[in-house]
Amino acid sequence: MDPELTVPDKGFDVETSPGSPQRLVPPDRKLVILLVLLIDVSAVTASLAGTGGAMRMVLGLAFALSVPGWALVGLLRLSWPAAEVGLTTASSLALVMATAQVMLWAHAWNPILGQLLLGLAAAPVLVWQLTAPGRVGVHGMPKGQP
Amino acid sequence: MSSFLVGTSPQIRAEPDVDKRVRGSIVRRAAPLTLTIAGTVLCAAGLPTVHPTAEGSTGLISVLGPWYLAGLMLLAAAFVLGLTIGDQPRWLAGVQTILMIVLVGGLGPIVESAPRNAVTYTHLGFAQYIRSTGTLPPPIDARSAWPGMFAALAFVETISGPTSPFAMARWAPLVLDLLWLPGVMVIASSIVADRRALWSSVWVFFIADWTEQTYLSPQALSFFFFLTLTGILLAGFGPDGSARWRARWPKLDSVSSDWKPPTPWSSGLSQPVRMSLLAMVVSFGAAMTVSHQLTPFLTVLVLAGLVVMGRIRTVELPWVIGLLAVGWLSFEAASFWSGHLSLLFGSVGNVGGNVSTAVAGRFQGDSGHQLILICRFGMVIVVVGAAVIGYLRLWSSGRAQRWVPVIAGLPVLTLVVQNYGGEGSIRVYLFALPFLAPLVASAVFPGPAPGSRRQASYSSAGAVDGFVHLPAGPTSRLSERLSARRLLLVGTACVLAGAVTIGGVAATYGGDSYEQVSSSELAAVQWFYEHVPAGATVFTACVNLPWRYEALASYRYKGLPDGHYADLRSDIGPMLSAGAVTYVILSHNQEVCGVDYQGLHPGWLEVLETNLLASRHVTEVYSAGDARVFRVTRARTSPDPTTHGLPSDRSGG
Repeated sequence: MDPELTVPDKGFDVETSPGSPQRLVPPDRKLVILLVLLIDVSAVTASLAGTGGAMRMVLGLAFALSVPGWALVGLLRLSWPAAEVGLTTASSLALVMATAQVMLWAHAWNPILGQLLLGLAAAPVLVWQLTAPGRVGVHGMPKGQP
Repeated sequence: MSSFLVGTSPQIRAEPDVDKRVRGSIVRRAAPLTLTIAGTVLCAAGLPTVHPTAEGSTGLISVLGPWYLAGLMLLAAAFVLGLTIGDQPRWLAGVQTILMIVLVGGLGPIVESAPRNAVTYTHLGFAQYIRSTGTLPPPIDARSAWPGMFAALAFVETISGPTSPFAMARWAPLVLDLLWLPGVMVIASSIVADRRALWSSVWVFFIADWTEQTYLSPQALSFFFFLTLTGILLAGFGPDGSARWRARWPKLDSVSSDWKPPTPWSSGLSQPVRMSLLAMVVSFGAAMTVSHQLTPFLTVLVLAGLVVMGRIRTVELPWVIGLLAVGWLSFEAASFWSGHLSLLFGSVGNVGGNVSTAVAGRFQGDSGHQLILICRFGMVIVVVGAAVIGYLRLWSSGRAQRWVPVIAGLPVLTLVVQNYGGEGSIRVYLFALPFLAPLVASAVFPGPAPGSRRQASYSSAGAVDGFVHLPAGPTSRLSERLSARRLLLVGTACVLAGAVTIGGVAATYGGDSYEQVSSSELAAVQWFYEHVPAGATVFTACVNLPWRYEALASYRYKGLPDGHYADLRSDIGPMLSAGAVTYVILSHNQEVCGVDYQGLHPGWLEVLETNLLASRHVTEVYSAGDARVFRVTRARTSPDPTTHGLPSDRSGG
């Protein structure tokens, strides 16, 4: 690491990115996006096919905890895993809750359709995250933070 | 890796006792990982020997065998060693923390086959109602007016397929603990000074959280939103000194302007990212507003405190979430409060009464249960005491942030308004814990004073300081000799950490004797649903029965009214005069609940059952294991006068 980019103060190292970082998606991040995309496609497919079993339950839970939220949070490229995980799960559940609540108010209760809509909305965003080189949302991150 | 290589460099090899040091460094490097694996294996080996049905009134701790307890001790020791004298890789503290959460938070789901806590089944019933009818639940109780979590649960249950919702409810405590984890970490990172304190905060939070709120419940989900929301605001929307009120009230500004934590993350946020984060935070506020009665107001209180203390700059946010909460209360939840104003405001200002109900009112039950209550109360005292010490140490090192103790204390104000059904004190403690835990960790790892000599080497990974106060730089610590005093300190810390972790298990699962659900109880309730037509009235003697998970609005569910244990002779009266078609479900767990929790004489349920049958209007229609279902064949208006010989008070000895 370039020593000039290290700010050893106040208990944290800060990795700063130079001015306008147009960088490719890092491999570990790419893996996360791929995983979320896989969950998206598998969970929606399993629901539409009407399969059962433990795998369907795990997929349904994983979908509700990750897909809608990561589609949004992944765009921000926050570079702080703890914050990203928390925001992703909270956003996902908030979106699922909002979808369910709106369906109840509209007297149009159909969670499978809701899942399909959420999944369809998330998929292109995830593909875009996977392919598009973008600006990192945060220029610096607390290196000491997990 | 580099610090490990220091021991083998030619320069150090020239020193006389370098071989010993190298060997020592290998041991110190390997010890945390080895102990972690050993502890996990021991715990896993001990789990099959745990039989919850045999536990006494002290809960799950009474049936945990030596293997599990020894494994937990080793895991705690590995964690302490890794933070103090080892040189563990960064990922190990995270792995140890997750293992601890799985082995402690997931202990109940692992050893018990049915979801714990009878209330879980009622929540499943709300979701089942939504799933099957596609409409909002009927106004059964306050929860009907805050259906957000139930709607989300119904949604998730549907997309998860025709698997039993019980499976989801069973593992909910573990999933919720893991969901809480990032929020706890992000909040702690805004308070503590180094990574060791950060991980210690997380351990303290999960070990000291005995509140039993991590079950499938609106409050657990809302608390998750609270943690995430607060963490993001602390980390991303810290003070920038530009707020207008700061210039207007300079005195207040001087009160709030203490040491500021480093904010490299927030300083790198672009404006669009900030706006997106703010929108997410508001959506979390909205989600908790439609899910739970109390959490939004506690959140507003905490956010307002943070704004006033100058710790966050989103001045509008408390107002926005407050308006959402009041708006929901005024429109969507009006059906609830319009008939129950006294429930909402009846105890406003009655601080003494609220505190008494919330604290002293909980000290009942048999001696084992009281021992657990003392353990829980003791843990609160230890946490608060250690937090005070931690704050003083931070103060002395110039890292104290005045907002932390203030925010930790703010939830107490809710007791001015509400005792929340006697659970007010539990909620106060839960909402204070994310702020107290980092202070407790700071009592051990306060970090060096800013600008001090040690600060220069501190930012490198894993400086050895704070715990034993040795002026060692991070690159030399594995090659240094451990003094006897330091070894003694670290050994004592390992034993203490293990003891506290086991104490946490005892406190968390102290009520397990009456919160666990037996398969025979579930079978009896299922028989009732399959054989009894809708519209019937069903009674239970103690409300810890796993019922209402389906047909929520189709039956009249009745427990005996509050205070019913004062005279058991009158208990069967309501059961016999309830209506044309009346059933009673009794089980062994209700007997346990009465004895352990309510302080009744052992055998009270048998007496009740005997008198029900003696009334000659009650027939046993189902029996399996320790659960029975009775049918009242003819409605009566008063208990049978022939019943006698019942205990007349609740003194459990």
